[in-house]
Amino acid sequence: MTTYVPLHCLSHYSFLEGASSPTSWIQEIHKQRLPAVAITDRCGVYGLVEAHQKAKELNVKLIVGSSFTISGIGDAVCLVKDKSGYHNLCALITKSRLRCVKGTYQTRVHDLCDHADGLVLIAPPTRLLADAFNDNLYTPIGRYRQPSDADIEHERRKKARSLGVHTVAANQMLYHHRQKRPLQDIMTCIRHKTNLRSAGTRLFGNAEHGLLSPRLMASLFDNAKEDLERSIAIAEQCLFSLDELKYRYPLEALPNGENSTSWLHKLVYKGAQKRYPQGIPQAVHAQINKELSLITELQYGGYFLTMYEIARYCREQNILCQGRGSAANSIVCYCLHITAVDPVSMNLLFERFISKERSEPPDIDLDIEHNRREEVIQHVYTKYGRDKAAMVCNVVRYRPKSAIRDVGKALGLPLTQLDRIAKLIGRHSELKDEFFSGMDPHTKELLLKWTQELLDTPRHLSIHSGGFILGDRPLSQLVPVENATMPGRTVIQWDKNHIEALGLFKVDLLALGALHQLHRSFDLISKHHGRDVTMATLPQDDPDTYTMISSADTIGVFQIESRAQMSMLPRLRPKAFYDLVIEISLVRPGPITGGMVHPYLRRRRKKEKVTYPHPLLKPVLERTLGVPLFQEQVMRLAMIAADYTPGESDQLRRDMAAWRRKGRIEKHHERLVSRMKQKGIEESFAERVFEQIKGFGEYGFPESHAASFALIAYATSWVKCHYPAIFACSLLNSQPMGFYSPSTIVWDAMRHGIEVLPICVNQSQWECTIVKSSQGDSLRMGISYIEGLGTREREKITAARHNGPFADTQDFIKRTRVHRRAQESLASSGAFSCFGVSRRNALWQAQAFSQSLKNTLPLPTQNLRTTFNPIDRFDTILWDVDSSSHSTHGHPLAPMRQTLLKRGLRNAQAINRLRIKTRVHYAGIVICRQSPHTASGVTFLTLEDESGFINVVIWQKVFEKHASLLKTTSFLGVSGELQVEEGVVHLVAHSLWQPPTTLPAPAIKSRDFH
Amino acid sequence: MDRLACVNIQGYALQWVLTQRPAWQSLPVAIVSEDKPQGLVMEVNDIAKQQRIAPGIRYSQALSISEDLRATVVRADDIKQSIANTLDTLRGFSPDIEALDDPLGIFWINAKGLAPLWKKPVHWIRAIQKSLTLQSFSSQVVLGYSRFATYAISCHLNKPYKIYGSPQDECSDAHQVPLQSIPFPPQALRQLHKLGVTNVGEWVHLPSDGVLARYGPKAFKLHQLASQSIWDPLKATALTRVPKETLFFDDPIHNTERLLFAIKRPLERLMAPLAKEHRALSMLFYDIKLDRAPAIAEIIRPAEPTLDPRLIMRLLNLRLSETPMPSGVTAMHFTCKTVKATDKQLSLFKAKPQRDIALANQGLARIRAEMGNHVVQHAVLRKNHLPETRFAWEPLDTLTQSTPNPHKETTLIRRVFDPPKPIRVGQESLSALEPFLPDAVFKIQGPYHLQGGWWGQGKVYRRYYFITTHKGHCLWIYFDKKREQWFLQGLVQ
Repeated sequence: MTTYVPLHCLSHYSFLEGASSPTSWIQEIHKQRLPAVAITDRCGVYGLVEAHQKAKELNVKLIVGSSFTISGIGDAVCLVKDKSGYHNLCALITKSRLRCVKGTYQTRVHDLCDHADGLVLIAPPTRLLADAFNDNLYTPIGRYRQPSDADIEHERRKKARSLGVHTVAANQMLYHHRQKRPLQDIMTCIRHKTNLRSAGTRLFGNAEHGLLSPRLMASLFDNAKEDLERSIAIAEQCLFSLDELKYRYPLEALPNGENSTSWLHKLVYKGAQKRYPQGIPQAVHAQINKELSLITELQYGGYFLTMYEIARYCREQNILCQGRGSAANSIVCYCLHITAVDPVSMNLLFERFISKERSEPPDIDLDIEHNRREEVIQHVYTKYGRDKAAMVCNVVRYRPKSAIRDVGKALGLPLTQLDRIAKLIGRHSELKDEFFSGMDPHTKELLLKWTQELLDTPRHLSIHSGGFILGDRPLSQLVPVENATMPGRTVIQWDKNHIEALGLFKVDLLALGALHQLHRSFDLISKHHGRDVTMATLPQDDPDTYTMISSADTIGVFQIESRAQMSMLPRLRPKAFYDLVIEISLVRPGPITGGMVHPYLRRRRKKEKVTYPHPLLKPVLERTLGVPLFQEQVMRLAMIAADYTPGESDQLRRDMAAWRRKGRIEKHHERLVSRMKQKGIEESFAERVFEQIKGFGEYGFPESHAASFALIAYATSWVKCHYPAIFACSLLNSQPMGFYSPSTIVWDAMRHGIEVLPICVNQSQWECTIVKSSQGDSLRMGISYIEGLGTREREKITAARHNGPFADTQDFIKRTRVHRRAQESLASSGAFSCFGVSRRNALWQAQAFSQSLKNTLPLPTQNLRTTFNPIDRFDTILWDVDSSSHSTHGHPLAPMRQTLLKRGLRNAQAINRLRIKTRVHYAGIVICRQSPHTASGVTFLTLEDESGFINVVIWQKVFEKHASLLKTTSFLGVSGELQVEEGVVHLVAHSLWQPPTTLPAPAIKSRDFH
Repeated sequence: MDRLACVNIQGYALQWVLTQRPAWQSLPVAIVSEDKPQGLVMEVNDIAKQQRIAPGIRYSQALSISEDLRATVVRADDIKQSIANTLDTLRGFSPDIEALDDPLGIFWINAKGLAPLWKKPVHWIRAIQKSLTLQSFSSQVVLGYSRFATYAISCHLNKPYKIYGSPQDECSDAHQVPLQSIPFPPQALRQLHKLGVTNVGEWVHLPSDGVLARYGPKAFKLHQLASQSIWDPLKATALTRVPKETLFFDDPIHNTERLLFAIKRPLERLMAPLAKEHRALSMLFYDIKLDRAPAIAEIIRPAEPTLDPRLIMRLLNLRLSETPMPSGVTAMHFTCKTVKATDKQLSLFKAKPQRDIALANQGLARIRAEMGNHVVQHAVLRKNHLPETRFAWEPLDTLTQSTPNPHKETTLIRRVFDPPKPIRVGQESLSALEPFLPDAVFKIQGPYHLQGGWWGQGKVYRRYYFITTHKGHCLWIYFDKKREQWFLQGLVQ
């Protein structure tokens, strides 16, 4: 039977053009028993790794290629013959992409000619191309059962004959099965921003752009069999496989006579001496040697040197950084000052980080203070060269909401209707007919069917949050590089899964606001108290700090400030660092859904006996009182109780992470349970452990990661405990970050007795500052908190202030010439109060001056002295919040308290003192809404008043009854019953209501988490 | 009753939408600025208000509050006719009516001189409201002395109507109206609110020039109106005269010439006032009532607007002579559409090009008159796949000078049959088709597949062929897979 090779197949990585995944292509080729297939995505190799993996699995020959549309030529397909061809293809794509903005490309004929080596080109022939590619140029013959085919073919054959170029059957194929044709039509509509009825000839006229069986292809080319045979001949020339790629990690510049191994060895021991000034313990020695020998054996030395180099750069530049994740399991990372947790003293599991069986590169994630991360990124580009460093891409795929919107648009449905359906689908797990009211059944069927088909299809390319790939030679020889949206950034065409699949090294540089805040805190402590504090020199196990933490006084503290963490703190009462590690790990979906929280708390309070399923497991579970809380414990448990090797146990962790998607965990079930039973562990416990570990991979923390975060949590707690004004100041200057809004941070500082001074155009700096007063440290709010002020206003005000203080409103406006909204916000916030003018008069004056800003004439002086009623305290606070998102004049509910008390509404402090099951009515400002998916439809609110917070629990039925009120008001009344457990108070809502006041609700935005 | 009344149909567009979509009556409904999730909510009904959806938020935000929310966009053109109807209704209560364009639904009615007709003002107001209720509109009416005061009070009125007996009372109440009740420039409203200026009374006490400097001309104008520092009379909306003539015949007329003779004078009467109004006739509508047959309605459209009754008579002559009258004519009713007359239309002397487009257009007008308005059409190309949809016939209003391309290559002409002609062969085999061909097959090209329309009811799957016969005929045929039948799509010449 005549067969052929499809040489021009576009997968769905040709964004919004190809309609089938690379996997589907390979499966179909395998099914049809075709000898090979060329995946030729548009100016890219985005789908190559996926196709390669499937092709290897099914033993299908995959030809690497890419297609381009070239001005004056038309469609051209490049196929890779050998390794040099692959390098050339990547270079060609890189060149075409880098000269254009993200998402576009431009390939010129000369580019093709310059990269001809090792490539087969299938394109309409020209003399230039024929000279460059010689025998490797073929003229494509495409037959799509269209009347125009014959004319095009005639012209091409004529031209090919005149240039002595062979022809080849090369239909462009956009889907692996003709059933996908409607999806391709929809994608075309999305790409052209049109709908199916208006798309006209932008859609293909038939379904002939799909994969054809050998029989159909033979009948289509029955008069040109040699063209089909030539497709096989070309495929036979293309021998390149992705397996041939040899990635080499870049070598660091090493001192004379050193190699990576020896240099790493020296650096580690040098670092160890600093880490253990009293002498390196024997256990540490042993662990260092074990790790170094494995690193040497696996040739990972260069990678560790790179991470060391980046961490060193950060230290030199005074940028706070700290390794997170499984890297904290490594003593080598600790000694290189990449991580800050001693894995030996904490008995952390190294195999969670690297294992020989796994033969995959280690993954070190480095947290860097967020506002300086770009400096580090640019340093990496500069140090390794722009051509040898690029960030990893992130493929943005269709999710249910985006899919239904885009399919609906293609079907020509009204956008408001689609928005409604998209929102309903997001909120309800099942589809109801009422979602589609007014829509005819046929349209509904189409909408649902093609939405389902579009799901998970790549939509566009984005950038990974911080992943870098480095190469010892230009990356464009390995994978094409293209521009990211952000200036100065480039990305490769593979995402993190592709990188992982190929075993390439990724360097993760992540941004962390808490480090920035800590850095600012340390600077302020040094400036105002002359005390130099660093992460390393912080006093350890400070009792005051732990007392503060135990009382849940942790607003603004890294990791333990959420409502759930704050509720846990009084129960857990952390007294030492390891308690913090447990605290951070405990309030996670993994332990919560695995039912581990309560057993742990009962055992900790000695209300339950600490038992172990098997004596062998005692060393593993001892520190967590017999309850597995960390990923490492699950791995060790598998190793000890079920005889897993370290590599197998790591595979178990990975399969745990993927169990929801692929059911890979089930293969461990039999092995784990049966082996545990053989060891004498009860089956019920074995089953329970298996159920528990299911939730872990996805949501549980590794112990090392929790320990890294606990360090930062302790440091921020220490600052808050001993320097509360500095803590608030640095936190406010690092916004946006954390859980709470600036207003809550300011009111929390005020509740701690800190004097917070308002914004003043003559006294305030751009940022918040610490001012020395008789009461100690006071906090002066910065001008940056005024709404509507940006960098330009900052420059204007700073420049004007250099010439002395402002005399009055007119003088300020005349000298700064800031825009109208800024003037009004400044007047509203009371920033002009230093001129002895009331806020309303300042506003009236500012409104007049702002109209005269455009000309250079003197500002008007008429109608400036109109009399207005003074504003009361409540309005003062509202004006503050409205113009600067906070108020230093108190909480909005403070002036209302008397009115509220008359109606029987007590403040949070009073309510928190009441007994369990007391029925109460309460009114407060909603500062946080949470509906975690682990809570089975329960919504948690945090309400705030002048005295503190109230945690409200709202069951689903109550929520549904009062949903619109809950979503639209910031000032909320709650009636319900108190639940009190070990000092933790929750108000379980029975009903919600609008508080009985005629005063407007303060416009305080809550932080909502879902 | 020497006063004026402000009739305020609040949320006019929304009320209109609910008349158009009665199923939405029990649901939260919003009018949005555009058919996009980012569209602004402009108006909401009471149910939406109860669910705390407020104008000014984004549609997507409103949806997150109530998933039952229904929304639509209302354009001025959509409710133009409704406003005209409301105006007509209100004209039944006074000849002088003023309608406000923004916001819609505000009408002032001059009540001067109506006392003899309505014993009490309240009767007049109730009658107005009753007539509006019949159109499914609810309204508030304020009878008073100034346009601004009645309008401001109507915006804040919590009962159906209010009648003022003195300007002082009216002024006093107007000063109590909160500024936020009046459609006011939003930014100015926000700023005034911060200054503690919350009602009309406080506002009019602000210095007038200070208002202009700070809040702009629109707010300044409102300030002047509120403080009555400018005279602001009611500006009645002009009633557009629709020319019309009706002829009744005692004895039914069967003869066209007699009919034309009878029409001549009334037509002249119809057109004579147009010149004075500087208007010209662009379309003549006429209804013919027949003795024993249903009425006939026709339109005559001259090549260009005209003031010449003779031209219209000629066109009428052509049309009537081609219109078979099944029965005697008992009456005729004429009305016309007019446009503003231009100098060009009146110019008698102008240079004429070799190809006189004007004459051509006159010729087309005669054809239209003789054969109907739909007969003059031209083909417009469309970028579609189906041969019969690659072009569309659209009415040709005016012929323009052609610009042929002198270098265009000659191409084969395809004559497309629309609809395609069925060939009574049920098998797809080409040999079964041969008996139906004009002579023996010389060459077959194809098949070419055409597949599409999967998203609608009209799915298409055709296999096309070009069949050339020995005698040189070239047939363009296809087999319709859906209908299992052959069709002749066209001929190639």
